Amino acid sequence: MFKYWWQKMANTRKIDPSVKVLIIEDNQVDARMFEKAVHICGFTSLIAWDGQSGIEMAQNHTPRLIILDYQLPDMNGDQVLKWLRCKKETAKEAVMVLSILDNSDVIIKSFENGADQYFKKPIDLKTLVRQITLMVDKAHY
Amino acid sequence: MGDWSIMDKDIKEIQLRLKAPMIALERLSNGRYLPQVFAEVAFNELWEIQRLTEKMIGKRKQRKKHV
Repeated sequence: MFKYWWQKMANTRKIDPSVKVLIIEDNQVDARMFEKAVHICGFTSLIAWDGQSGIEMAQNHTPRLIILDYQLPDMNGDQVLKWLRCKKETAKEAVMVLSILDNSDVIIKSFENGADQYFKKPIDLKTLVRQITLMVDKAHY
Repeated sequence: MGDWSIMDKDIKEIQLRLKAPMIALERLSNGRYLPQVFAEVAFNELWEIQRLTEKMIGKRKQRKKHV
């Protein structure tokens, strides 16, 4: 079933390696999963392991989408979002926040600081691929 | 005016809880997508605001009775 879905995705996706997706995630397992999802969509992935390098990479590479983990070793998702939104290069990039937390305060704070989407971890690959495609197209965001 | 002073705490809480619905409305009015997770949070906050408003009205009625 999964293999069939994967093949269907591979046939229908618009492969565009010039589209960059930045993953800011400190957990290696999650980061690899996000990377896999980005590759299924046919885009190029960049990985930053902490908030500071994530902000720098976002400014230097101007990715179309940023997948941001809420809890990072050096700063939290809100701080990263604030930084991203105050810089001209990254002010309008789509940001997807992922977190193990699902209380309303965290969700409100994320959207207040400019998040475009929020998901609770763990997230399945299928949903992630669909959301990445939607957010990169910016049809709704 | 005195009636309202005891309700300051409720009013402040309502103000705080209005944040999520306001953000949701702003997104919608700008023609932006509203993710389901945030729509649910904003809707729950509205329910809580309704509860607090009803509580405030109840308090006012009680005070009027005592006066």
